Amino acid sequence: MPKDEKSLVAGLLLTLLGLAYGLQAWFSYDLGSLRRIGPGMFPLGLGAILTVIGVLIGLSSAARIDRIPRPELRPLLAVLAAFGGFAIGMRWFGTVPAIFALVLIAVHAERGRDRVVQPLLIAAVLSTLVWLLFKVGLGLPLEMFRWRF
Amino acid sequence: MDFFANVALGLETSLAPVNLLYCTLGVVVGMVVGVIPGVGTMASMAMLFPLSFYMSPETALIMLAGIWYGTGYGGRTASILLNIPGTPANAVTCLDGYPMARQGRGGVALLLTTLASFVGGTFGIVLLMAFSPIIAKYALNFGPAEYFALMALGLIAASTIAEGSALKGLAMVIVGIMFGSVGADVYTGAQLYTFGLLDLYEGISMISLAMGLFGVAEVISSIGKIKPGDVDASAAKFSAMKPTRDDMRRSWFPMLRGSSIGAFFGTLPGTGPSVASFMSYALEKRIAREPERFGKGAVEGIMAPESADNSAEMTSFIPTLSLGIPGSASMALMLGVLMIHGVSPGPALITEQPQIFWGLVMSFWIGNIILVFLNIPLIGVWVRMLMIPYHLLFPAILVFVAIGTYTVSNNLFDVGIVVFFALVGWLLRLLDLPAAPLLLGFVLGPLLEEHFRRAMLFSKGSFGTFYDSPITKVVMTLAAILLVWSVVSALKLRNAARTAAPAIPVTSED
Repeated sequence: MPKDEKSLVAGLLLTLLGLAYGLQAWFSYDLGSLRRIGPGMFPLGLGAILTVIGVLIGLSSAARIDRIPRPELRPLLAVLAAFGGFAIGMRWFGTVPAIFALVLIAVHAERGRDRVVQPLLIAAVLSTLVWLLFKVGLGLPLEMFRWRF
Repeated sequence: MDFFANVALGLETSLAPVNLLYCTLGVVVGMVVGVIPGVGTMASMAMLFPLSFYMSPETALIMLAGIWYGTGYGGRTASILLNIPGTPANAVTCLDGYPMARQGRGGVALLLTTLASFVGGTFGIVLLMAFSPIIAKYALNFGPAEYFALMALGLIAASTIAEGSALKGLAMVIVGIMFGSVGADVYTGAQLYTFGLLDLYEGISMISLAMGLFGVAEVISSIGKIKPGDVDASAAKFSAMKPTRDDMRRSWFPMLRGSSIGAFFGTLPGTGPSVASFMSYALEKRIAREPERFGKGAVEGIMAPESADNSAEMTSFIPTLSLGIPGSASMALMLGVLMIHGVSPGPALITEQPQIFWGLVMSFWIGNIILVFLNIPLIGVWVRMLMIPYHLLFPAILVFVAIGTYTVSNNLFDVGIVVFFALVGWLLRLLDLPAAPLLLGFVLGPLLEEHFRRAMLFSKGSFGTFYDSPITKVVMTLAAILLVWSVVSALKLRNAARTAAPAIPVTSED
């Protein structure tokens, strides 16, 4: 039995999304009448259509074979974590620490590379660039360093 | 008369120092982005977008548009010298451009394709100037039902014609519209899908979505995969650049044909520079007297696609500017820029804000000319740029995305949105779901709904209004045909798209 994993999973997710979205509209938002359409009517329609399409996509998975490739999690997690570090930095320590956090974490996305010296340099250069472009050049309110405790 | 007055206004606007500056900035960034693989058009447009807040709408558009067509010029350099297409539309140029470089004729190829791009661009701009005002004037008579029908057709076309499964494209458009619906309802102010989060009251920030979905997601999937190639630096010498008379003789008609094909596919929603360049190459090969020359350094094989590519880039603006209907994700981004600046896109744009339209169009001329002048002497520089290792580049991209997003609203929530959509983008890639329709749906969704509700209001609840006037009849019939065809072909078997794999690009950048 041939199976397209990608379509199956996609179809499933889309169907669920369509249902969730549509049901939320049905139960929580004012649908109005056809004459005077309320905010919930269009979303309800969207949810219904997506549910149908999701089911169709899921069904179409029987038509061919395709496997979901083993996901490379390292780059994904590194980048996501890097942004997390950026957020923490911005919130409590300022722009420059945020940039350093971002770069130093992000470089973990690749194996076997210099994770200390080069990234530190890159972060330093980028911090200077950002300072020049955004703070000096555009006059934006960016705190380079702060101590919010 | 009117036309010349408009052209004069356009020239005046586009030659204003600030617009010249940002036009240059845009095309330079575009070229650089086009040359360097791994940084996409959408990502760079999204990254420069925060800058646009401090400018007037026409300046913002001029800059962003410059990036967009600039990438075509740059991408070709990577195609010819490295056999790596800088943008999907340049993929075809690799086929005959790289062999030419191997034969020591890389410089010639670069010079000739610059010419081809300029010719194509000129062709497209002329059409843009001629047709947009006419279409806009006609469209002013449209009512909400017509708009809804046209937008629906545009969305359906854009999501089904492009790559891969049409059903998946449709699904993504709807997902995009769903994301677009988050926030306050236009008519009643009711909070939809915000679940109490104050930061969502004004909806999801388009720029955060675009940066996450296209910029960061692309970075994530490119890490570790992009390797700078070996460039034959001698190909960039001036002396290597003189084309032969035979080259020139063989180029004129391909350029003309390419420009025409490009104009057609550019105007059509759902197709753009990538499709245009492919079709153009296919046509040249088919009508050539010696088709076996293709793939081995045939001049026609690079001239036609490059003309088509640029021509399509220009004519893509026709539906966008005259009707307010974007044919691709990049166009949707530009429309979004207009909307954020408080300008409502649509047929009235050309008449109510002529300086935006004509200023933009004239800036295309200027941008193309700047590109020609930049290309020739700086070829050596571009060649060096190709050698920047990606592991140095991607942290820079991420930093600019992060800072750029943050400075828009001084709100870390928006950075969170970027992260969320980066994750979404990663998931979409894994499942072969196209991302471009999502952006299209997101930008057009609210407008679509507004027209729908207004049409229903006028018709007092009757759905018949969508099949009433000649325009709606034609448009809805076309839309229905497209829908049926796409559903049918999706349920039928086969990855005909998959087997054509290496040549068919991911058109998310169109």
